[in-house]
Amino acid sequence: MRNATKSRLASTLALPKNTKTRMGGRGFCRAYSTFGGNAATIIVAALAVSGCGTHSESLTNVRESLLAGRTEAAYREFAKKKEKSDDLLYLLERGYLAHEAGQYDSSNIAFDAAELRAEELYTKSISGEVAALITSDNVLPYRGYPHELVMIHYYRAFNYLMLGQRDGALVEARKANQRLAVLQDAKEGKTTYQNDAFMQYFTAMLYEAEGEHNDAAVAYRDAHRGYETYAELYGTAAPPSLIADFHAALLRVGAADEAGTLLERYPSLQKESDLRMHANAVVFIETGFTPYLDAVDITIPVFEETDSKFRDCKGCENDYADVLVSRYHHNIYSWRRRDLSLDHVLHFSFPMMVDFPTEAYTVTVACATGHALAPVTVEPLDAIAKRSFDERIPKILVKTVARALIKEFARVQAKKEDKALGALVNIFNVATERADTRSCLFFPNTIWMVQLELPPGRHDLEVAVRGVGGTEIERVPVTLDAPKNGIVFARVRSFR
Amino acid sequence: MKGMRIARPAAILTAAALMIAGCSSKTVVTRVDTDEQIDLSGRWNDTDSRMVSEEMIKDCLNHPWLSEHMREKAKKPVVIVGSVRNKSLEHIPVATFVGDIERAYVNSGQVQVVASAVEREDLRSEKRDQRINATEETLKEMGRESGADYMLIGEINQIIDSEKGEKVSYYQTDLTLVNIETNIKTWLGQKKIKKFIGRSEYKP
Repeated sequence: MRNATKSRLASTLALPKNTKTRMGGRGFCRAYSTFGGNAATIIVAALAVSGCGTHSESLTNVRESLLAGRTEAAYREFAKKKEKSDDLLYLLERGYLAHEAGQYDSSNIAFDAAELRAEELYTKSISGEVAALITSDNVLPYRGYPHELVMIHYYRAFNYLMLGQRDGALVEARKANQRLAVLQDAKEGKTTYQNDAFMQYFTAMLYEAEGEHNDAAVAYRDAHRGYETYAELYGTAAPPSLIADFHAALLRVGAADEAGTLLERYPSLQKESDLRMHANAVVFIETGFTPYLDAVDITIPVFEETDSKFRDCKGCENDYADVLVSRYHHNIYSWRRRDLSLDHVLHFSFPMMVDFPTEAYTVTVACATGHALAPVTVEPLDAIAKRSFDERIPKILVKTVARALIKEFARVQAKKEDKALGALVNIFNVATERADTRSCLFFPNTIWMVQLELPPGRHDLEVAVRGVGGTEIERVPVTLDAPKNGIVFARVRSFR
Repeated sequence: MKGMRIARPAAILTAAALMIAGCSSKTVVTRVDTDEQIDLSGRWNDTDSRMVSEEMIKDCLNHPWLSEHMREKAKKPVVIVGSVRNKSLEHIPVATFVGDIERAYVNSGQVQVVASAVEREDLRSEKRDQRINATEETLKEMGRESGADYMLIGEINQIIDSEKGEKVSYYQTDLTLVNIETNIKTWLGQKKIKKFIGRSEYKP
């Protein structure tokens, strides 16, 4: 017990210079030979077993292909990975990349498998949870974030639209509404993401395009309510077009009272509502990449005092601390001293959300006439991802601490039986302590939207993505077949 | 004795390592009867499609419109299966369902079924081709198609109610047989399916 106290004390003194925090996902994969023989063995073995890469690092080449605009190459690159049909994350990313590569049927197959897998994962494995407590959260199946599962329906709806199966897109709309209703009803594990205003808006427009006005009015109402929360949480207000669309939909289904109330709240509505009645094209522009998870690794070597003067002294901890401070000061190589030897290594690892640099600051859409429109932000996926992650952090940290205690207990027990076994358990503990950095990497940072009123027929538009200061960083052409009746939907992806 | 002391924690470590490595699985394929009812995910499947189509067509053929038609026209009615809209929350392969309905009609021997609009275009294309390439004796003439007396249209709706791991999925299929000449609805059929899908929160 006394020795343990001294070990902790020594580690506290040595901590500032020996703590290794990894951020940005680079530069950790090297042996710390300076720790001495035992430490090097433990850490080298740890790295050999655990590997060094985060989920983001393992897909760097895919992301580079996307950044270069080579979406088919990105999909091919991803498809080289070992197929994991029971891994939700793999299926999500495969579905997304197949969509970007224009392989809409393949995308639907992957997303469908992802949906089924997400349902199966409702049932938690007790043995899996126990394994996670003695190893790391990586042994648990990936369950995904709610917003990632909602995005499945957005991409699948577009898959069906691209395949010319508008009924299929409507099925996705209904599924999205159902998923959001379940989120709102969830009593346990409630998070602030209980509604997706953008998805509600998108589904409302899909219903409207197919003449299902009652469903459209309901979804517009949910979208309107959702954007009130978005404004509060993410600073994203309802797009003016939504208010106009909602008002028009209410009039269409005969809800004149509610339409009147809306008009009182938004006095400038009537003009926009009239305008909206004729809009027949909607363009979604997706920019950047959603934030990703990186690992924060903290490695703490815990030393054992071999100075006999203090080793056997009861109640000398304060004197001992004074001696250590005056003896070593800030000498980070203090463990080389003959009177200190490494006892064991503590290793903590937990995830941290990091922004992927995004150049896009504003977006404009230019018609053939030269008239430019400014799309508005409708889905702040970066803010949603960050908040969802932040809400998980307390649970992650509690589990990290609990795991550390269990691992340390196992090490102490093993060491009592045999010193070499204690070292072996320590190696296992360090090797298995890896942050769970899994999240879907390729979804956009932000989705923008613009509605257009175009004469029926084919139209060539140009979407310009601009950086800070208005510098154009990318120009993407879009061709639309504007219908006489109904709405045509298009999406543009800029990875910048 | 020391060996035993080492063996116990070592066994724990090995077990943990095995848990990390996971277990390998092997794909098993077994041929089953096509009529066998197998429910995996709880979604609409081949059993639902076959069951709904057979029961609804049986109901359709047991209604007075058929005998009235036979009495008035003295020949079997000609039916075309029109669109059945999927308004559910699942991607139901409507073409399979329509195929099941056509099969049930034809196999009953009480009505005749004509080809759909898309199929007719293919047939007309074939007849145009025959006019150039087929012999006179085998040539099929244009303009001698059987016009349908009735059109069957419908939709599949679904309501889902879920709480935690439990889900109730309710499908309602509505079919309507419309007299093409008069627009009079001669038969309205409805078939409901209710499924309970339960998942436990934990497994060992």
